Order: sequence, then C-alpha cells, then structure tokens
Amino acid sequence: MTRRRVLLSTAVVWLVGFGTLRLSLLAPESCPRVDDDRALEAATAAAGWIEAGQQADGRYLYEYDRSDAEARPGYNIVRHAGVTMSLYQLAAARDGDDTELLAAADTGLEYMLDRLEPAGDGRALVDRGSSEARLGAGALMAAALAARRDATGDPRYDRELRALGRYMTGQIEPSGRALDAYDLVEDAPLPDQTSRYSAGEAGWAIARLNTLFPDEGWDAPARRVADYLATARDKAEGMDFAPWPDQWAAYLLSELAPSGLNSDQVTYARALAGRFGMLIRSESQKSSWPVPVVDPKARGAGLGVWVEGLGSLTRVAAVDDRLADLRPALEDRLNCGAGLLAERQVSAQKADDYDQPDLVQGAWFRDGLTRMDDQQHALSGLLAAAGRIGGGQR
Amino acid sequence: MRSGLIILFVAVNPPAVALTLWARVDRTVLAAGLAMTGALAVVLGLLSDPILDLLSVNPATFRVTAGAVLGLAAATWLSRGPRLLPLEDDLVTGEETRDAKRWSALIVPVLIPTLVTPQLVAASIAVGADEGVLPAAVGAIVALGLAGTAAVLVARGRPGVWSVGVRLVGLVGAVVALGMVVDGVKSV
Repeated sequence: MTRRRVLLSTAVVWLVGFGTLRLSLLAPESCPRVDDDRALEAATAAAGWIEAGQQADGRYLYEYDRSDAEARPGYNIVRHAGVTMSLYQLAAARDGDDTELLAAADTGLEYMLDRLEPAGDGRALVDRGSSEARLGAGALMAAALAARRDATGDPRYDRELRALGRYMTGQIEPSGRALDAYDLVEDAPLPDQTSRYSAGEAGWAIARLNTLFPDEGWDAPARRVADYLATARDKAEGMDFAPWPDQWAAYLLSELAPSGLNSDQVTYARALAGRFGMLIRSESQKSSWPVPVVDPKARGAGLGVWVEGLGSLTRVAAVDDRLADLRPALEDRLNCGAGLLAERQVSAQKADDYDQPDLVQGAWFRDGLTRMDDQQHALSGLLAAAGRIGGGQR
Repeated sequence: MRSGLIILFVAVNPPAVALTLWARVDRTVLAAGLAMTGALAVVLGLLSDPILDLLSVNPATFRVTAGAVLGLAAATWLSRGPRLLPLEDDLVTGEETRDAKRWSALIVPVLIPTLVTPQLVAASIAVGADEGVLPAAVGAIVALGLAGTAAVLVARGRPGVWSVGVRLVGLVGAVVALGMVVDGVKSV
C-alpha cells in the first residue's frame, strides 16, 4: 500500500464518519431564541385557538383536521380540565386584565362545576353517565381553580377547591401511591388502578392547596406523593427508562421546593431535568436529520410537556442550591424548547391559507391534526419559559 | 480530571500504538509524532467551546457522539486487536532519500492513521468542553507518554502479551464509551 493510498483511505473514513455523525448524533441543534414577550404572545395566540373553538356549553374544540376543515369526534373531561387550567394560567400571567380570556375560562369552569359529584370525603369531577371518577380530572380542575384564584384573587370557589382536595387526598395511599379511579357505585376507590399521569397531577394540585391554605394539612399528602414518585413509582408501575418524563411531578417539585425538598426529591429533580433536557436537545436536531432517526417532530402537546417540565425544574433549581449547577443548562434548554414551540406555531398569515383560519391560527399541527391538549401544554410551556408560572419572573 | 485522564488513555490505547509503530519508525520520529499529537490534543481541548459553537451542539450532545466514536474504536480493538500496517518500506517510494524516508514516516504511519485518530480528536474536544483544557492536556500528555514508553518497551516483551493489553484497554474503552453515552443522554 502506498502512502498516498493510506492517506486517501484515512480521509475517506474521516469524511464518511463525520458526515454520518453530522446527519445523526451530531446534527446541529437549531434553537430559535424567544424573549419573554414573544413567548407570552405565542401563548396568547394558543389561547385564541381555544377560545375560537369553544362551544356555548363550555366545551372546547377537541380535535381538528385542517386538511378538510373538520372537527374530529370525541371528548375527554381530563383534557377539558387541563385546557381550562391553562387558560387561567395565562389569565394570571396577564394579571387578570383580559376579560374575554377569563370569560372563556369561566365558561369552561361552569361545564366542570355542573359535573361535580360526591366522592369519598369530598367531590370529584365526573363525566355524565360515568360510574367512575378519574383522579386526573379532579386534580386538574383543582389546579384550574387554584390558577383562577391566582388570576382573580376571588375566593368564590374555595369550597369546591377544598372538596376536590379531600377527594384527592382519599385516593392517596400511605405509601404515596395514588389510586386513579373512584367507584361511585361502591363508594370506594378502585384498588390497584394507577395512572402514569394522575399521581403527579394530584400531588401537584394538593400542593397548590397547601400553598393557598397553608395551615390545613395539605402538605403531608403532597409530600407523600412526591416521595413515591421520586423513589418508587417508575419501578413499581413498570416505567421503562426511568425517570419517566413526568411534567406533573416537576410541577409538584416546584410547588414544594420553596419549603424544602429532601435528598431523594432533589435526586429525582436532577434525573427529570436530564430527561427533559435530552428530549429537547434531540428535538432541536430533528430539522437536520435527513430521515426521522427516532420519530417525527413531536406534537405540540409533547414538546409543550417537556417545556413545562423544564420550566418547573428551572424554578426548583432557582430556589435549591443543590441544583445550582443545572441552572444555566436548564435556562438554555427551556429557552430552546420555547423557541421551537414559537417557531412551529401556525401564524395568522399561514392560517389564511385554510378554510377556517381561526381554527388553524395559534395551533400546533402534526399530520394535519391538532388536539386541544396540544394548545394546552404548549401554552403552559410558553408561560413557564416566560417566567409567568409559579412565583413570578425568573 | 480523573475521567478526562481515563477517556484520553483509552482513546490513545498505548499498547496499540506501541505494537503498530515500534518496528517501523525510529525514536526521534516517534517522539516528534507524539509531541505533535499532544499539541493537537491540547489545542482541540482549548478550542473545544468554539468548535462546539461552530457545530451548533452542546457538550452533552458532543459527549454522546464522542462516546459512540470511542465505542467503535474499542469494538475494533476488542475484535481485531492491534492494527497491522504494511511495512514502512511499502509506504514510501524508492526515489526518496534515506533521511527523507525516515521523516516521511512522521505523516504516515505515525500521525496518520496511528496517533491522530477520530477517537483522540473526539475525546480531546469532549474532555476540553466538559472538564477544561487542563485535564485534556494532562490526559493527552500522559496517554501519549505511555504510548511512547510502550513503543520502547514492546521490543523486550512478547507480542502476544501486548496484544492482550490492546484488547484489555479496548474493553475498558468500551465501558468508558458506554459511560460517556449514558452520561450525555442523562445530562440536561
């Protein structure tokens, strides 16, 4: 072999190797920058989509296909509660001065108030005709009421808020595991039925109650849930690749952090930060992949959830010095995620290309479809990035 | 500092360098090659941040990539042992003078493809970005120094033993590479 051939073959190996990496693991991370005002503007546009599709009975447009300008059938009361909560979060971020937004959220709230049923020591949010109450629905309704209080200072629904809290607390076992369903016929929680979502949702909602009503004993059940999520949930409930990226758990940690987290909770917060950070990093590389190496670009809900998680953990790191080393990276990833959200949101100009621009503008579509939780999670994530959730500016 | 040392040690794989080069180049040329490679590693460690900015990736993402590159090299060492190059005489033309022939080995095979490898370049940048230029510099100097020492000592030992050493470092390299990938994936 001549020297020239050695040099040539080495050059080929380097070029092919670098090229392969550049199109996969080492693809450029594209992170459009957004400032707080732009994030708030995008969140407001998302709320505009929710308001535009709201019906007279308080329900929101559930799923929409922009290709044929048709609403898809179906509804989900847990998602209804979540969307209402996000509207109140935005109302709080805007200091409650947006009366149209508050009116839309209150109409959504009325839909839920009409569906409160006695459950355990309190009341649960239940779909009409259902014999079971789902924990997540009650939890997100409680979170919505807490956000409404943030937005308005109005204590009008505190009785319902506490009743939801008592129901949720009854679903929490001594270990901190949360039972997902309550059997309204048997008048008892359904044993051994859990949900990857509702534990964090309930823990967070109970922690919100503790923040609003600090002397009423809500702290202990919220911390039991946090301990369970931090130390046992992923294994006990068969989650692969722990930690499962649970933004509700991140909300819970951020609510508890000002009054202190234990070492297990801090370790869990660090692991969650890594998971959300990796998800945002790989998402930011996807526009540089020639083919979807892992999966296509995330839905608005998926990306929004990750940004919500990072926003919550940024707040945890801001008050807990044990996570101080993560602060710059968390800020960076949070801003990257918010930038991706803002970039992928349908603008008013692009929406004009469709038959019903009001039901396209401000939304996030994948394969021509959007669902109301795409807007909910993206909206909350953008507010988190703008520092408008949980304790004011970053 | 400790992880930087280990990463650069396995990226160089001193027994592999020794077995590849000891009979093919004289000590002066080898020393020059080791010095130049060390200098390159230091420069890469020093410029790691601008390099990552240029590539538009953050250190955690690059760590995953460096781990993958190192893992590939480690798998090659484990499966094939040391790299066997053609004899030096085959690499040069007969028109070259004796001295030029001696120094021509500096480029091939000393620097390329033996010392300046994808895994060394990736490791230098990764360690520089994660731990700073000092661990990158110390790691590279120690690893290359060991490679030079091994190249001197290899003539006294049995090649079979050194070949086992290559695979052993390859095995450690595979573990280190896996650790880099996992750490990069789990980083914010």
